[in-house]
Amino acid sequence: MVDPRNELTNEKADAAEAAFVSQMNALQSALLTYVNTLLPGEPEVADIVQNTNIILWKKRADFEPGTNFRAWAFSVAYWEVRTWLTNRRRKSWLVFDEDLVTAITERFINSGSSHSQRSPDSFYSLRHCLAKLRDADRLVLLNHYQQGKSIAECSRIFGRSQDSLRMAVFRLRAGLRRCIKSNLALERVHS
Amino acid sequence: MKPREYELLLQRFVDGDLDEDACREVVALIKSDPSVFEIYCEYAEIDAGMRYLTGGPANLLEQQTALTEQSRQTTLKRAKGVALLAAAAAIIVLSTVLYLRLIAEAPPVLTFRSSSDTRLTITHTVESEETPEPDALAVGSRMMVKQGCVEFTFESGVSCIVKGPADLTLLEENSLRLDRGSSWFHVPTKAVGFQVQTPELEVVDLGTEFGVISQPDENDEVHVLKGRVALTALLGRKEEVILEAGQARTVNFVGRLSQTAVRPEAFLTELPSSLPSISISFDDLVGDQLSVTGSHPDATSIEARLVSSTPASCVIPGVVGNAIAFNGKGDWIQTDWPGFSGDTPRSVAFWFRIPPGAHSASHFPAVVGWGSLENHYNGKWKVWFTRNNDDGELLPGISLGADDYFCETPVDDGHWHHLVAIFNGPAIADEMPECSLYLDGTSRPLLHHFGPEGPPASREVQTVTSGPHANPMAIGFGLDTKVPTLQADLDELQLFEGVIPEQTILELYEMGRAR
Repeated sequence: MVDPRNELTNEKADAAEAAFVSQMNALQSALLTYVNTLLPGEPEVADIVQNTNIILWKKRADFEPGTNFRAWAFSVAYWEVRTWLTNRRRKSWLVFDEDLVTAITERFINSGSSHSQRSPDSFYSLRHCLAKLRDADRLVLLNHYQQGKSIAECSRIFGRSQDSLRMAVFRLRAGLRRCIKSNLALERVHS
Repeated sequence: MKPREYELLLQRFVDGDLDEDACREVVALIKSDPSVFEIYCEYAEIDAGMRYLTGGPANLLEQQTALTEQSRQTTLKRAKGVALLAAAAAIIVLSTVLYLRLIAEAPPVLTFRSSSDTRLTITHTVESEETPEPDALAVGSRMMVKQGCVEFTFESGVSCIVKGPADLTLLEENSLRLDRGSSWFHVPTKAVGFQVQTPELEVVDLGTEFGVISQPDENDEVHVLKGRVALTALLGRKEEVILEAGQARTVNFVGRLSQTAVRPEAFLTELPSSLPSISISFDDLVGDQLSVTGSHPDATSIEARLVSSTPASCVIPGVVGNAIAFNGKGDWIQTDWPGFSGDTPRSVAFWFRIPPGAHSASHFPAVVGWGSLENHYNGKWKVWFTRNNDDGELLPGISLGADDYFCETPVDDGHWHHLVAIFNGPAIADEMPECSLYLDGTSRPLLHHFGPEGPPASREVQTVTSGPHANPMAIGFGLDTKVPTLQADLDELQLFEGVIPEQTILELYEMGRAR
């Protein structure tokens, strides 16, 4: 026979875990962006976020509901980045100093200004702006990112010089940035 | 370092594409300038987003799956949480599919079409390497409308009619910079937040229909026709206000927003079929008021008063319908219209008849003119008849103030003639202003001379239409009241905001001649 008190306890635990997962899910794009900002050009950024997720899950009992989940998650990510650097015997922050790292961390914890950080549909604005690109332009970006190919490799695929391709990627990303800022401005007006 | 240069550096930094020294330089830049810091964070976010959306080497979907597996092993009682994670993963898959669907349907940000005889140039500084379609603009594209009208349709549903001369740049998909021009905007609900920026004002739409006027040497204006807009002065005091329908503001040089009468009629809300024009046919005279018609936004509000002791006696049979007979003894038409301003291209067409021996005086009145009466710079527009000193015959001419033009065909022969006087718009550098005269449908060679004040300091044409030196359009009378009034018959006066093509000139001439 099932003890009804145990059932009640289990239901509460389930609800707490569901809430925890929901919070984690909502923060994925922001965590990825945060680690990517701390480690520019580092291909293992996604691995570090994955480790961060695992740590967050393991330590979920430590998190007190009602406190700042975002700040807690970013502090875990911050230490994961440090651990990753230490393991690779890179004791310095690539080129960032502590002041800059603090400034970046505070921006991500406090602002939550980016649409991608707030929207449940992660990177919504980026997705929207990508959709506006011409097919040929989008293909350049997709090859650059999806295949993880270097500019040199892409230049061979497209039969274009590296300088030309680098400039194309530069212009496309600058355009995406402007488009995203425009969407955010619009969102501010709506809010 | 220019913004473009440090943006390029920041992107290369995000890509890990810089050597150690360059990295130090970029970090110093990021630390020293908060705006650069922000831009760096934005590029890092785009980079992260691209990796996320394209499912790069280790995407988050895989991470979610791994997490889900770990969750399963923990306890069966957590099945609900696992289900949530799986659902989250499904959402990501779904959104990726949506993204792929969206990318196949990417329309241009902005398309346009123009009225006939519109002259425009487009400069693309697009972020893609491909040039947009001929009828489309991309973010960064700049359009300069020398004359005519353009209708814009934004992907967001915003529609806009711009009357040239105009200079505009598409800043973002929902943001336009209007450095010059008169524009009407209709913004549907789904596009609320659309922005227009002039050199002096920023307008944010809050669900509305509004007009913006930005002209060099004049205060920018915003007129709200429906709904509301948020208006901010970009100068000095930077005053802000929310404007409702029926309200208008003009901004002065210290950033103060002043009330002005809302003028819905000042804006074109449909693309006209031809160049904006103003017509006085002289057919309809009520009391001393003459009817003014045309497609130009100002046309319906222009007041044209025949100044004469016996107005009705001035009306005679003309080339088409009635004409006005000026006797050279004090009759003329005074309007309240300031005229085409600055270096706006323009064409003035009319029929005229001058009796032999008319105008024996040494000074000659204008057929039509406006602007400043000063002659040491090009601040006026006057179409007139000047006497040839050699044989005393009257010759048609154009005076811009300092630069004068005339053709050598005498016209004081007692017959009807058709004249079209044209100013071609801004010239290159400091070259002589370009003007043309068409007499009876034929282009005539022009002779040039300077006005009584001699060569000007600048050849630039800046017809004055505001301020203490501005004189509104008069017909049959010069800007200088010491000059006598016109002694001639006039008919079918038409003013076009732009250079009309030769075909139109011929049609105007043939239409009158056929009657």
